[in-house]
Amino acid sequence: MKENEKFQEEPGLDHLAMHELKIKLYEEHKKIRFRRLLKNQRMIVGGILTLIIVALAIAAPFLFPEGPHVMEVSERLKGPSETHVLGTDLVGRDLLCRLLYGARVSIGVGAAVAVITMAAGLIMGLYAGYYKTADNIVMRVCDSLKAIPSILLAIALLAIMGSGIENVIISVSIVYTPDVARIARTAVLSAKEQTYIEALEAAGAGTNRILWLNIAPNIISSVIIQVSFIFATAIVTEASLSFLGVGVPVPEPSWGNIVYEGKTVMFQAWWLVVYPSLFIAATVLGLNLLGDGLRDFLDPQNT
Amino acid sequence: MKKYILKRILTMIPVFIITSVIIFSIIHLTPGDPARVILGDGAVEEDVIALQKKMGLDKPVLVQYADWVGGIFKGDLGESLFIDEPMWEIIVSHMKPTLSLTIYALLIAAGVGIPFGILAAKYRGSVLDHGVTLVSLCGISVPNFVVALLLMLLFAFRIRLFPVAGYKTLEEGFIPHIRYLTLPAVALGFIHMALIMRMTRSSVLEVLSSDYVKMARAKGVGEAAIMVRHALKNALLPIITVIGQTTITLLAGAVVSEAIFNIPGIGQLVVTSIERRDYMVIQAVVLVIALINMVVTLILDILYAIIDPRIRLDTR
Amino acid sequence: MDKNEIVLEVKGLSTAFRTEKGWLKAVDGVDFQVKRKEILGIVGESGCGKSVTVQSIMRLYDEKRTVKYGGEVLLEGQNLFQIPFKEMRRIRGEKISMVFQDSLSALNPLMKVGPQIAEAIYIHKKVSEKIAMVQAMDMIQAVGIPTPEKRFYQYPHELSGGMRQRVMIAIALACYPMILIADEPTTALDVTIQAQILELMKKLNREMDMGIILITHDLAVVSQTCERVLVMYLGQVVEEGNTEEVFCYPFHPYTVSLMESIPHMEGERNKPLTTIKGTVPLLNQIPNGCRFAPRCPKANEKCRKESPGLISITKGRKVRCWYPVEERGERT
Repeated sequence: MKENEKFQEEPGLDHLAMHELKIKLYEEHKKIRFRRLLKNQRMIVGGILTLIIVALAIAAPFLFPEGPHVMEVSERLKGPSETHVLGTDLVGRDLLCRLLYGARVSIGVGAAVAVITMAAGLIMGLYAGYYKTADNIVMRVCDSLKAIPSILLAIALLAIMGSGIENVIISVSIVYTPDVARIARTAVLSAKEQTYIEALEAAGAGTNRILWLNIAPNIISSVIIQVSFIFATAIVTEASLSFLGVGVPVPEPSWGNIVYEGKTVMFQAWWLVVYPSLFIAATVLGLNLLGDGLRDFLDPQNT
Repeated sequence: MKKYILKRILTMIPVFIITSVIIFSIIHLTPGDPARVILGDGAVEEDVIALQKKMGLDKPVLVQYADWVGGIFKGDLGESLFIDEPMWEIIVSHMKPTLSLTIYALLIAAGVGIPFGILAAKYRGSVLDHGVTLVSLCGISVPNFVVALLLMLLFAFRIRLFPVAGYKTLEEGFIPHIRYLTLPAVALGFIHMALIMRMTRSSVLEVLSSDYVKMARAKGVGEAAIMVRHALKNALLPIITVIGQTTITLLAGAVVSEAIFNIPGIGQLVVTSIERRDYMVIQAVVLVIALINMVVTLILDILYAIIDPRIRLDTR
Repeated sequence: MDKNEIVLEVKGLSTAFRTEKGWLKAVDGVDFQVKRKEILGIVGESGCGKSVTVQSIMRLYDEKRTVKYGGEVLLEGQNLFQIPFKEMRRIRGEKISMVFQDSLSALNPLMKVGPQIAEAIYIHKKVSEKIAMVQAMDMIQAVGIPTPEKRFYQYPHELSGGMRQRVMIAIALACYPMILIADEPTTALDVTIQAQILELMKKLNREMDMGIILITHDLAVVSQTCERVLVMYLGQVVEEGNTEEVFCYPFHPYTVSLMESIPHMEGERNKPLTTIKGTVPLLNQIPNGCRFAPRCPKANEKCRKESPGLISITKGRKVRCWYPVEERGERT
């Protein structure tokens, strides 16, 4: 706080001194930023957690080259042991192996949704923030999409399109794009008010040029923060959909459908429910922490 | 105030129109003929044509939409392809357990979330505050079906405190009703409790560091009175927004809780309807819930305007 | 009652905040007195510790975690740093009260202004809320708000900036305090409204036997309003004295530069404005020796090594400098 007071303009300084002051403050600010990054425990814990899980997902084919579908019926419903570290499922497949392959699906869906919603939301938000007509249309559609609770909308979309990884990605993206669009639009509206944008307009710069070269870089950090949370939410949504049997279809493993299959026998084989739950929780926690940390880092005023 | 409410209701109209169009297009504009999809690949042509007629698919799309929306205003939500009852009755009978569950979960979420959020803000940096932060962080990271299954394993299987699954109506007695709904409601409410707690904490913290609280201190107002007279009312505004979103997410999230605990609510209706490809029911349920959502949002906006005089000013 | 009786005396006040870099002293050894009927001005650049000084007098910072006070604040001889917090609450608003800069954020947005004034009355005086409301109505009239009966029942956002500032003054004066602290009360206002508010404060000062501490970075405001002035730099008082004398014959090089950086109506248009070289150092980079030395045109080795004390030069004039400016009559 006390430092910020110094960032204010000081009376009795001319432009040159003001300029010097700003350079000094900027350097100070950069230093503080870097230190804040190192001190940002949430971001570090979140980052490590996410990295571990992503690494495990990548390592799956090397750790289990035989794939997630190998059944050993004699070994069915065995608890955690040396041969099967996390136990086996109803038809004798190794749980750890399925969880690691499932990580590829679950994180893949989350990442795909994050990329799609970011691109779609950014485009919608940029134009809606700039053009009044586009604003009316885009925001009405977004309002209406948000009027239907997200999980229900996803279920309805999947009920019609049928289950499958691609359809899960499409439907979950449709559900969460309005959130990104809204954030981007708000950011554009305030960026538009900045004097330098008005100056560019007055100088006759093209709208697309202003939007993509001048406004987009300014609003990207708030979009990224939002998207990092959508990443986490998309994983939870995918898991919930698969758990209800409308998401990723069995036998393709996803964390949600592993729990779905395990649920019927959970009183005999607790591990089939507990371990996938832990994987989901750890991933989502990691991503949420990362998002929190990112927000502290990119947007310190908002914390 | 009246003007504000009127204006707010008027803005609902375009949202309703577009929402209904979206719901309608989900069912009708997807590739493939719904009738054929419903009956499956081996269907006889006559059956398909009969079903198309029953669903009104033989008419132009715009006429279908007009019929459907017209029906809504007459209280006709269409017909289920499998259940031989008026759509309203199907929905109302399934809505009762869902509403019970939602209200129960909301009470848990707000009843625990708000007080603990306030305490955490008041005693910032204390053990309690760290605990609250940790719980709320975990809460928002665990999907509710995970919480549900873990609660079931723990409190219904290991310690037999609550029934594993099932449902007793309110008519069968309040205590059994509550007993059967407790685990599902806790599972459903947990995430939202975390969200409300987090929001309350940060909202109260923000208000406590505001200039008008400083001013109140400079006036000589005591800490307790500052909390009651100045901080809470101001802090309530963002909390109301969160509770609004919570209510509707709970209603929809009940789908998952109901599926796990075998409660015959809207969620189960949706899941079975998907299995039977009973699109008309899905369409009606989504519409009804969207409508409830709009009404809840309206009520909260009005509440907001009652508390905050600055909002009323906008419409003058 | 003696007009020159000292009501508030601040001795060696220091305030340190806990930050990422350890404890930082925002105010370091400030001494001054306020007499019963005077208006004392405190000037300095942003971040020089003016606001911290007065908020420390009110003990407004969180003493459990973020702040450490040192020195003494004597109100009628009673040290405010030694009384229990509960008693401090009774002093705030009743004996010392405060007006803040931004009236929009300093008034509770969800409470009508009348009750906000009344609150200041009934928490201190043993009266019912109803009687407090009546007294609050008198107060709102006293600060010169037109159509008070109407304004009384409006919310802060419905009033203009000048009116809100008057409401804040009404709140501050509700219990007829001995000391009124005004922290940049006119900075957010238009020049005409600013003059009205200053005029109001002068009038109240005359009529109500009340010492006023006026904090501002606007030297014009000080010269119009205050009898005495303190100049602060980096948490220390560098010069003190009668306003006219300080402004006409400044002793401290910092005050001199402050004076020179004001644009003058009658000055030559082409002549560049004088500025103070460099910038205010951050609190964790406070120089050894004289704090102004790095920016002082006349600083020498002694200035950079040894820290000067605040010494009396002539009657009522104090300065913190090894080599006070002596040229007299150069400026008018």
